[in-house]
Amino acid sequence: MLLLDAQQLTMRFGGLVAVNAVDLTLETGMIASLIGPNGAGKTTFFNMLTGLYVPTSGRLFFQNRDITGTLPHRLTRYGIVRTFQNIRLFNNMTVLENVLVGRHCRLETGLIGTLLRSKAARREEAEAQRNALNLLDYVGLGTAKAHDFAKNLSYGDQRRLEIARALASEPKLLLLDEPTAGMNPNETADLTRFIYRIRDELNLTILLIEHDVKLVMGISDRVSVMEYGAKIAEGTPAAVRSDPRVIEAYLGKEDAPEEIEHHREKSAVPIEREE
Amino acid sequence: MNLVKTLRSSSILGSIAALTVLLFGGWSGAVIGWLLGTAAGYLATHDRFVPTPKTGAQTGIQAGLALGVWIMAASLIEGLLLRPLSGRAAIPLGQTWLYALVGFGLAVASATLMAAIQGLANPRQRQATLLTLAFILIIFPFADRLAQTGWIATVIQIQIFAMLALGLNIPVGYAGLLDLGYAAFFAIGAYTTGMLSSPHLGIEWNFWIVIWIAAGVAAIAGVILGTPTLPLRGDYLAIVTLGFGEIIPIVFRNLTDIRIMEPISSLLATLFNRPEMAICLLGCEETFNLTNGETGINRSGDPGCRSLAASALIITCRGTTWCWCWWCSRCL
Amino acid sequence: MKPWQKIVLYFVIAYFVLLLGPIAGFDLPRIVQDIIRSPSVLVTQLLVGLINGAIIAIIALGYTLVYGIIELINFAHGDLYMLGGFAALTVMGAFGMQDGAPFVTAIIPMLVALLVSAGLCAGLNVLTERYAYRPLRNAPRLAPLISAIGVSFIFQNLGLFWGGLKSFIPIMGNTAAAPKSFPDLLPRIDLLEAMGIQTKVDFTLKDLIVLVVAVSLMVGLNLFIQRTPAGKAMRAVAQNRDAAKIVGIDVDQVIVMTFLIGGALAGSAGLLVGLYNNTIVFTMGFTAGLRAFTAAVLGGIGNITGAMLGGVLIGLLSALSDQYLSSRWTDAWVFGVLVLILVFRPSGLLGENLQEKV
Ligand SMILES: Nc1ncnc2c1ncn2[C@@H]1O[C@H](COP(=O)(O)OP(=O)(O)O)[C@@H](O)[C@H]1O
Ligand SMILES: [Mg+2]
Repeated sequence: MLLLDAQQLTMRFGGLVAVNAVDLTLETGMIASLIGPNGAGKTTFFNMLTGLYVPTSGRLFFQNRDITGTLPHRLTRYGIVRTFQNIRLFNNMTVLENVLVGRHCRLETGLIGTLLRSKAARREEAEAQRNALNLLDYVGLGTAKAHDFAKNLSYGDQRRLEIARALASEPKLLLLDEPTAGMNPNETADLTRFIYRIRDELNLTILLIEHDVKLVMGISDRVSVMEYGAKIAEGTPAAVRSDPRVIEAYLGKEDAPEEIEHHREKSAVPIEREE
Repeated sequence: MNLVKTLRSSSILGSIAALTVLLFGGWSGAVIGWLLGTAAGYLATHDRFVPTPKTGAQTGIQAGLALGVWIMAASLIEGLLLRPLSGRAAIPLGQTWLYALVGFGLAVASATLMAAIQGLANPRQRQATLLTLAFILIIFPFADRLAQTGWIATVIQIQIFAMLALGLNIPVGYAGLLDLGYAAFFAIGAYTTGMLSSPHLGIEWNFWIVIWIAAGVAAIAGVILGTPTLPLRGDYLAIVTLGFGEIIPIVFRNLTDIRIMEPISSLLATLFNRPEMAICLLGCEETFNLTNGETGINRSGDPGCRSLAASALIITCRGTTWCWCWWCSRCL
Repeated sequence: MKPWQKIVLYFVIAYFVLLLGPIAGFDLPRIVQDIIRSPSVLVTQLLVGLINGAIIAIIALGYTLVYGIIELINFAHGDLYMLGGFAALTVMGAFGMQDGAPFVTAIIPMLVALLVSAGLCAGLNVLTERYAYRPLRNAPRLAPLISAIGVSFIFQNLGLFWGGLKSFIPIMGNTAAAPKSFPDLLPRIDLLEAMGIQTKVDFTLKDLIVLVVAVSLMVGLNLFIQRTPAGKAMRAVAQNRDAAKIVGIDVDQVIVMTFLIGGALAGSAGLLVGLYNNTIVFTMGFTAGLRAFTAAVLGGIGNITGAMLGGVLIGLLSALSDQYLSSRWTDAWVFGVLVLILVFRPSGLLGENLQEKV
């Protein structure tokens, strides 16, 4: 079933075309990836999918509903949620509170109810709390750190927390922007397994931006490649791996396909700006 | 296209001119025609290429005519309708027409002249433009007297506010620092002038000397405030300057009974309970009144005849009257 | 700098403070003498400062909440509080309240006045946000600030106009600009004396009521922010707006709520100050606003606990300055503190949030 359908999405910043007429579809339950060199426009594309940017042109459909220009908090309610390339947690809240805030859009009781502390409100609160603790367990953070401030977590834990927060909103589509950036190989392997697990257990569709080509090739049902704002290739990992245009985009003409992964390992930690 | 644009720019100036004429009547049409005519001539030509003075004059004449029509109409309405209706003494028909035509003529002439100047080659064009403006500045006080419009006091206010705006534009406009306490520097300058050139403290220096001291003191105050606040971000800076702008008036209002005692000696005096030990530095018999509180410092030095003649400048004002230097010599 | 140089520097600074301080009322020997002669005055003054500080803290919360969410110094906030005072006075007039009316009969009017002034100010604040700040949300930072200053002028003139409506609201008195006397309704029963303790310190039922109301407003706000989902959403927006959007928080709604709460607090403070000081005037918003803002900055702007702490400190400073320095110079001292904090510790006493913002 078609979950997401992006048609000719374009984003201009003044004279710069950050994303140029990109089409992308996602089937329910698939793990798709978006790769491309730094500055290719991947994050900008995510920003459009999640409503942080309104596309300059093009249309966006989610479950056959036109969501072009819909505000981000609505999209979260519809079931699109993401993590950020440079982690964006609520640093001065506890780990638990971060996850609770993630459930914000699923809360039923209104302001008056919470103020009066009605029975329903209290039940909902208790349930949310239980859920949040379960989620922390699920992403492997454990409940021991639940009352630490988010800013005091290790880098890997912060990434996990961001995913937990995203999952708290009960999404249908999870967008992960370079989730392994800054992780060591062990953590990366963990994360790969984890991504499979949430797809299978939580019925999610996942779109992944990734620099780690090995991870991408291993995990994805489909890979899309962007360069200079345009989509230059798409297909199964094997097909993409041997696409000459992809090789060129990554390395220049003459290099062999295997070199792609090699290049990734050598390249410096990407320094990126967002917004 | 050009015509539409010319007319539009003239219609703004024209309505201003017409309103002025309706309000003031008499020769005000001539004065405003002269001033705004020059402006119209400049506006009509400043943002386009004017190859020769002749083409400039052609454009200017259009602008001047458009403006002149406004002035003439307003003069006639004022003289023939408003004046009798509001019950003021009527003026002869001929004189009304004279006002109207002179206003019209001056508008057209000055617009044409200014526009023609814009057609000159570049260094000459700048020089001539500045010369015209300087000429207006020098002649205006006399024209104002001759035409009995009595605008000079207002014009001086305008110039003071223009100076304030120019000054504020430096931090806010050029540097992007929102300075909400700018008026405090105005106050500092004013009080410096008042203290140094009035009978209040018995220091009655010449205004033309004091003005530089006042500028210097305000500048030093600016440096004192600016140095520590420079690292602050936009709105924090705004608040610091706002606070400063609040403190300064309080300070000036309250510096009325100052007595400064040497602290160590007065501490000892209190300890030993021997008041005569305390050394007094200022305001001993009677507390020292620096700023005269709410009343303020009255009759601060004026830049008029006397101080002017003394500093051998040529033109200035006293109250609303402007005078030549030879008049001033009678002040001495 | 070597240690001895530092000591010399401090000595020189202290000397000049002692030398020039008396001009602005800072005459240390006299102050010490005064305190020794009648310590009860000091205690009374501290109480007055505490209560006024609590009121300032309530206003400061409005600044800090709004700043935390949209990083705008809402200049109009002080004047909003002034309008709250006028609304409360109008309600008092409508109920025919006068000085010394029995406390029992005054309870209902006071509750109505609380509702009306809090409601009016909340509404006005939301309208201000909608029409004066929201259109400028993507404009350069200074634009909404200037807009806020404009709104402050509008409110001040609104207060002047309101004060001149003597034919509709007789309690406003004859002159529009004159200070209005606010009926003295809270009983001045000396609590310490009632408990059988003989002191020269005044602590009346009136003081207690104002203090209790102010503190409960602050506690309530704190519970709201810490416990309820809406409060969590507010904190989330303050800490990271994009992340807040992504987890499904409607940022516009949170901003409206913030202005609503801030406005309600300002309105309540207007009523409290009327009841406590028994006089209101249309210009009181400006200085009170600056004091409250100083309090917010002192505590660390964006930090709610900080605003309360700062409010109390500023209240104490003003009360002590009124008594021991010189009431004419109090404002100068308060703003002097503001300038010093901003220059030397812009993040305030408890502010750490700021590092995130800067
Ligand atoms: N808000 C913005 N304003 C201007 N340019 C932007 C903005 N966001 C991204 N860009 C530019 O768009 C291009 C794509 O950026 P991005 O989407 O972050 O690339 P990627 O995530 O693929 O590395 C970059 O050149 C970046 O500088
Ligand atoms: Mg990116």
